[in-house]
Amino acid sequence: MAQIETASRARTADGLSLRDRLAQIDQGILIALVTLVMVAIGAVLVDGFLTGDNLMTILRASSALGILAVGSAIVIMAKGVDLSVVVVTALTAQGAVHLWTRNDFSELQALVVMGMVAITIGVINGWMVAYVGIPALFTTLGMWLLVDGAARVWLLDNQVYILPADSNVVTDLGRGELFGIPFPIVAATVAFLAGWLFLEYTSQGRLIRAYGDNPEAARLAGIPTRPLVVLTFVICAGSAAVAGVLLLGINGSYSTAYGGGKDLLFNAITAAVIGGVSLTGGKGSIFGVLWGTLFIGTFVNLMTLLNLSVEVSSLLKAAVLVVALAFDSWLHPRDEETAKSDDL
Amino acid sequence: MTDPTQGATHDRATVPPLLQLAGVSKSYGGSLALDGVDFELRAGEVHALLGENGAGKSTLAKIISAATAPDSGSVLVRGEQVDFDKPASASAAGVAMVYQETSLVDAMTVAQNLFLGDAKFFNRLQQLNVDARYLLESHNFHIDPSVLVRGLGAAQKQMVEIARAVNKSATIIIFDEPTASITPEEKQQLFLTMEHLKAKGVGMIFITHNLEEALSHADRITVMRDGVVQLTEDAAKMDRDGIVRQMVGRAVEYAPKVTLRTTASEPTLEIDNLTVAGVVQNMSFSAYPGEVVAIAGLVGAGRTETAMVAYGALKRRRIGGGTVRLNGKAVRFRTPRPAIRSGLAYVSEDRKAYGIFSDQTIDDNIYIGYLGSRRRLPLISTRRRRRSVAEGLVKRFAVRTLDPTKARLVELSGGNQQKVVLAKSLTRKPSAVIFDEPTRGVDVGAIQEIHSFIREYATQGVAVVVISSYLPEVLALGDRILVARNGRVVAEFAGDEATEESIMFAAVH
Repeated sequence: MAQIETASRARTADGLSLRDRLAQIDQGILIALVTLVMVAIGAVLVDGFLTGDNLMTILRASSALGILAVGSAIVIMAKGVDLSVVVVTALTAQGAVHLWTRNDFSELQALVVMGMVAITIGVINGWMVAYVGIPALFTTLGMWLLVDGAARVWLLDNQVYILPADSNVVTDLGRGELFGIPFPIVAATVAFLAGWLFLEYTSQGRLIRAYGDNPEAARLAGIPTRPLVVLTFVICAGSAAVAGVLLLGINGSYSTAYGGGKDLLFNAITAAVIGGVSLTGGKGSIFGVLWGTLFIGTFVNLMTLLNLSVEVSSLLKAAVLVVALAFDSWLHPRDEETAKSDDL
Repeated sequence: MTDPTQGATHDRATVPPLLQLAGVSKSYGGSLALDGVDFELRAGEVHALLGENGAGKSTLAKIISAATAPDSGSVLVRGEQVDFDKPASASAAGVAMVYQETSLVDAMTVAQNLFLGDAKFFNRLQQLNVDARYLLESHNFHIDPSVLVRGLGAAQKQMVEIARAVNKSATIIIFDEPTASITPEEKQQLFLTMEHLKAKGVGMIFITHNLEEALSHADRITVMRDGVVQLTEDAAKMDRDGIVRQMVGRAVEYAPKVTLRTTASEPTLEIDNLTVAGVVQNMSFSAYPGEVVAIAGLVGAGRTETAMVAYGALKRRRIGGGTVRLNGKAVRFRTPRPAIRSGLAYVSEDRKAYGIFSDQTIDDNIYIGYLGSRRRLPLISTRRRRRSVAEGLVKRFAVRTLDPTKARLVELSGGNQQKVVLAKSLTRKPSAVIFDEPTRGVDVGAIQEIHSFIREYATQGVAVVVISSYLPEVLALGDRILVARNGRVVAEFAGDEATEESIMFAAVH
């Protein structure tokens, strides 16, 4: 028996198709190569792209996106998706400013309160998905509209909140530096490291990946699957809250006048997916998400430098996501039959 | 039943065979699934295709039905080279496939399914039903064309599928494990249909695991191993041992039983009057330490559901009543987690759906099972930690692979996957364990090994329950053999008294 199997294994190697070869490479490396090619093209064709300042701008602008992408990737790995990050990001930023300027909260108190609100939203999302059994797509879409509506009715009365001049904490977070590196970049680096350590080296992280691979098998193996699902939504909501505060600090204001952060949600999910996190769950790596984020960041920056309108730029971004999804399913067909028998 | 001259009458050099494959090769992700296969199907013959899981039978069937394209080699239908690029062109050439999981639409009626795909935009339902009845009766199938497919049994679904294939003037029909989930009576009906189609000149490829059926109902038999055709021979000239030797490369025998059970002890696992709406009716049995209780029965007899209830894997609101006692204590587990921690293990019948994490490595799979049996989840889980948990179990269950830290489960053979499932479910020694169809879809060579693991648990004083629909397995393992039918245990035999006939009789009547 042992001989038979080594024999059939030994007969592999040669005659691989292009698809087989690509499928064997980590998708993180693929997207890294694509990003570097894009950087090279940008350096040749676009003036002012390959300067230290501009590269730092790309990293700074990508930092909040990266943090959100890590959170989204973890939810997606557990077969979920969180659309309510849109409202959590906005609510954290705007709510904190509101509490602190009009309700006698100190800056830190306001941040802590809004952080707790974000975690609560995450818990409710997770509870609805894991214990009540509503699909994540509908749960979080409903939560988005619900929280957005509630905040507009009872809490927020503006679409734009300006960070008060006496802010210390948020300004430091957004504009400060640590050892000469802008703080948002430090924060994003920490988030990527933490996400990677969590998924690779903790039991919970391993189990989340396993749950995404086969939820029923995880349940039958005695894994406490429902608390794990709640955990993924809490992590995602937490990452959204941090991203909201960072954006507030970086921009000095938070506005929901144009789209209210839908762009950010779209970018975060795109970054995760083109980085190899499969929407069917259980697949992908934080390394891939990192390069997915850098890809989006570079892409958006190039669009800006080329002076393309917002409409054209979002059109191109959507095209990239669709192409990435098609590429993903070409690379990893669910099985040979479904790949071919569509016209039966 | 089989007429050995039947095949020969068509064996004239002037008539090209119905279907001919020459030098067909196919590789998936770098591993060779078919290696230069030559295969021939004559008109009016039943050609059985045998082999272990992963031998290449399904790949061959997929190539013939054009679900996948060969890397090299040629396919000839009636002597003419064809180049199937999509399934539709294969069915146009008269190739049809009858799957073990049928491809019918559950929510439509039999008639609608029969004419699916070639129906006009507007259909007159009545005419459709009349046509369907005519078609079904012409094959002697007694099925009401106006009922929903959902309500049909497995065999009836197969009949509908066969009728559909024949209606689309199929001359080459591939049966993929058609007898795996149907009753003996239904099997006879199926074989009659095959005879009937044979007389019409249809060529049939009969993929099966059941050697006896192949020997008694096929005209010729082809045995495959590791993507290579080992031999093709008239069925009349072959016997069981010869086929098994070709399938695994050596002879396989079942290990003898050694019973160690002491009669004085209390039962470890006791199921008392368990009822689950619709499937289980007052099921009662018990398992004592040191014995193997084998539960035989047909698919749908309520055995799996009983095990799932005991294990806490079924929604509680579905349980209609009854008690489960573990080590003398009445238990009612809400989830599998407390069941495992109390010493009850369950190895699922459906490896792919409930057993494995196909994208994870062997080490990770086993480690996940280990975490499931622990009271608290440790925070840190390094690769070395996972290795050290998995290492002993990989050896213990003789999982054969190049590198368990790298090999993902999807890349393993059925037998090795099953061994990983065993290792993963048994990271801690249980006091009672239920094996549900422990060797389904497992290569013949690994069956024997898995049986010896199961036996080993019993000799260590564990109460072992084996649910199996495969009678040789029931007879080989059971110290006590129970037969379940319609959700209750209807007969009990001592291991050495039972015969295949007595078990089957109890399971059906």
